[in-house]
Amino acid sequence: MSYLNVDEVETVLGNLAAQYLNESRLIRLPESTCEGRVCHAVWFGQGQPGTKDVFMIIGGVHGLEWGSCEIALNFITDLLDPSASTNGLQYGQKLFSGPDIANLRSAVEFVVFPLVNPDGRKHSQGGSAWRKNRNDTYSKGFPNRIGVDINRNFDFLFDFDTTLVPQSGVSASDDTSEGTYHGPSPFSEPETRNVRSLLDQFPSTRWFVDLHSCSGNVLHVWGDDQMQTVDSTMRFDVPACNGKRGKRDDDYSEYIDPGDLKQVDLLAQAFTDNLHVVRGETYGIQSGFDYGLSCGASHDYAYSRGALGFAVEWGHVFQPDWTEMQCVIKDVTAGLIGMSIAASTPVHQQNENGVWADASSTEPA
Amino acid sequence: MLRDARRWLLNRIHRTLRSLPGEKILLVRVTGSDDAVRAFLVAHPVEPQNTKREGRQLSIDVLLTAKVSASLSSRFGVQATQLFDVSALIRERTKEVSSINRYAKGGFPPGLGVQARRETQ
Repeated sequence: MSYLNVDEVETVLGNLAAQYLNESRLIRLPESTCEGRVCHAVWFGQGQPGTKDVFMIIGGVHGLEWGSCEIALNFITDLLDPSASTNGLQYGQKLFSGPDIANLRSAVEFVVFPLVNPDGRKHSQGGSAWRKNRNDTYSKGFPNRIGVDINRNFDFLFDFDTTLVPQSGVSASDDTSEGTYHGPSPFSEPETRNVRSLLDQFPSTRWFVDLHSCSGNVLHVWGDDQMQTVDSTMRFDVPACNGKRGKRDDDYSEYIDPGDLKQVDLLAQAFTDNLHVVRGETYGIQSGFDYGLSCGASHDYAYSRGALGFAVEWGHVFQPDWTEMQCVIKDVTAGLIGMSIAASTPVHQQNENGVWADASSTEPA
Repeated sequence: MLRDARRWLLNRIHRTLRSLPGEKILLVRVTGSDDAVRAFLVAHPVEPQNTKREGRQLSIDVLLTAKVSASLSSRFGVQATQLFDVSALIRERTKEVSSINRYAKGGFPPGLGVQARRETQ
């Protein structure tokens, strides 16, 4: 085994869906990429699609962050394995029991889109530290001006010159030569529209995770400013707040519902706690803003539609050697399973320590 | 005829340029006060990685071209430390990317969770 190439990612997705016909559906995304590639996602769950809350995972948004696809595919492979619901799943020192997995499978549906930006991955796997897609519409023939940063192209405070304070230092740009070029308009790119179409198709999406690398962190909303739970008139969608967002320790902070904030904290903690048990790795938890002011990011957009949004920044280098990458895959898969178990646990059953972090299921049998 | 030849030639040049690996990219740690780091980010709106705050000092790891990295030390009042050559690493890692479609005839990579469980039995 080694890193999958672009063709293999799509083939593996199709083979997985074919192997587990009764519990999964292969979803063909509506738009081809600029280089003509067709993308797929997989839905899996029990019963009919769209009848339960959906936990959505996307990966491969940035071309050079190769391992995100492998993490997403491993998540599908492990959870769809019928023996997982009886024997459980083990990652290093972390054991999820059979009933843990069976309960999770019956409680929520999963939609996983492992490779959002295949053109960027293809170019990067040719030896380039390439982040964006490969749209050459705006490049005027200059190779260093090709592409749009998909994770700045979502419709969340897209027009940063208007929505944020001047000279904010936001990690987005309207200069085509920058790695964070956000495109001419929200959803200008087929890859971004494909993610939106999945969210449209599954309106019951309550949790959304975008897999990135590489700093060992789980990031949560919001990316545009510090958070507060008191004044709901300070919101991303209030035009009167334009020009005020993006500065630390001033009068503006982005509103978040107190219940959502509690859930965000609990789920991020569940991710890092479960990941830590695997082999002792410690991931940080930060808001997107504390990590770096951004706009147009997928997880903020997902939350603007009502799904609690996270970005996982896995690992410590963009392309670990394959031996280390397998360890990262185990780490992050355990984190995601722990997070989704916590998400599917009714609020009234949760406590400060989290029922999902039951000590009896953290050690190998 | 001449116009077709010119178009063919331009397309060929364009395609060749597009396939080039691109500029050398480095991972660089940028450290300074909030204002200094913000001034750097206004000029170079890159994505921060590994953001850390210690007292009044903020440090971020960012991907920069070698050219931008070399010009940083005397600007913005930030300190720039090169961590590693991302381009060199990625070229090395291309050896670990499959050159064929290993699953064209069916199958998929074994799940690592299940595999780990079997290893312990």
